[in-house]
Amino acid sequence: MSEGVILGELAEIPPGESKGYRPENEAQDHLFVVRLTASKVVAYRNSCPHMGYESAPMAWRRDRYLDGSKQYIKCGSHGALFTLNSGECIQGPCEGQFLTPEKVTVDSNGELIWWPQS
Amino acid sequence: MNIIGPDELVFGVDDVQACCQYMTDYGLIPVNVDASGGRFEGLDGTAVVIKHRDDASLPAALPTGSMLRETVYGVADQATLDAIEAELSKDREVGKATSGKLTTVDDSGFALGFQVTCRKPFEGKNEQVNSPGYEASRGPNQIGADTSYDIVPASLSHVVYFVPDGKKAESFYIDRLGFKVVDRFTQLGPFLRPSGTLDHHTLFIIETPPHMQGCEHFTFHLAGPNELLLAGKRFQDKGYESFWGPGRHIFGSNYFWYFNSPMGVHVEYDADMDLHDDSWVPREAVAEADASQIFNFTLAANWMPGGDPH
Ligand code: FES
Ligand SMILES: [Fe+2]
Repeated sequence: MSEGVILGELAEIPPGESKGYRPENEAQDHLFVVRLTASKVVAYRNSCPHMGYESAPMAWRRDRYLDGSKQYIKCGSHGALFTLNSGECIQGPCEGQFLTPEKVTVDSNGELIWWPQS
Repeated sequence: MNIIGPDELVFGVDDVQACCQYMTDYGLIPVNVDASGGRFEGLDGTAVVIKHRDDASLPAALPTGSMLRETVYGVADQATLDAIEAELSKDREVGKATSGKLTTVDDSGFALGFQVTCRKPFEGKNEQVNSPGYEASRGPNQIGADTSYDIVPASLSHVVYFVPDGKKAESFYIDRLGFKVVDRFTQLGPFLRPSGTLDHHTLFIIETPPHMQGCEHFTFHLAGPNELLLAGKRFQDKGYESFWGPGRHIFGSNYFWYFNSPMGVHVEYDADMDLHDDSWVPREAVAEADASQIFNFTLAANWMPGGDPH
């Protein structure tokens, strides 16, 4: 049974925006969280499924994982677009493939807890 | 065909403000930039142009949604432009803008422009190295670690396409426009040099499944490896996401450092590329890590070993 890891405060992410996390002080983000509404978040591994580029980092700048409309996750490598809710690529070189979901919850203190899958 | 290389890359983007900020932070000089986009120039006037993807002046997008909308080549003179018009008019529509620029598409569907080059003379910076056993190129009291200036990329170097049919794509540039194959990665494609430059490549073509068609990256030349390392560090310190490098390629010998971008392409800094002429015999290698680069580093934070011992 894995333990939850505190990532930070939900309040650090403005609604509709994204933020990357390095829970083990990695050189680049391990996962990122998108705050969909005041209280709802989704999270994915920072690893693009583009064939030949697997594990490529996706932000184009620190914490910037979304497209201009903020309706999609956008890969900063070749522009693949992924839905916020399911992580499915709907346009670009990995169309039809999915981001790897990560389980992140918000606790009663407003803290983001990451539950690593073994 | 005296084609010199790319003069301009035109992008139609979803987030104009982000892309304009990005190209400015990369170091290019903003020209006529407003909320609708603008032009970002290197020292020689070659440029990246950012527009909103719905801008009516843009050529049609590729079906894959790639944000690269036009590659504009600079040619030596009007006679070259006339020769290109005559050649390409044989089997495709060639338009002419009021500026005299020719517009058409290549055999993969990438929109192309051709114009008498916008490249202008500029004063470059010569990165001078003191090598033992060789006459010093930096004399006494000349400082090498100069961080006192803003680095402006000098010249648009090359663009890299993902294409669905590699043979068809390269034939167009070789047979119709006189590009030469300089080197080749067996399972990817060729590095191509037009006849108006000695640069190792201005175009690299990578064959992929059709739904991946688009642009892998573009780059501007910097003055040298020291400038590349400093520019890349400054860019990363601004929060931009390093994708690969700094390192040094084998084909072309260019130092490289690639970053993610909001245009959905990698943007490279490159420096110190090899020159080739028609006497060169192309090399071919299987594309793998050790054939692609002689070394690849990751930037580490500055530190002071020993700290302050007092
Ligand atoms: S690595 Fe993400 S789109 Fe290519
Ligand atoms: Fe390159």
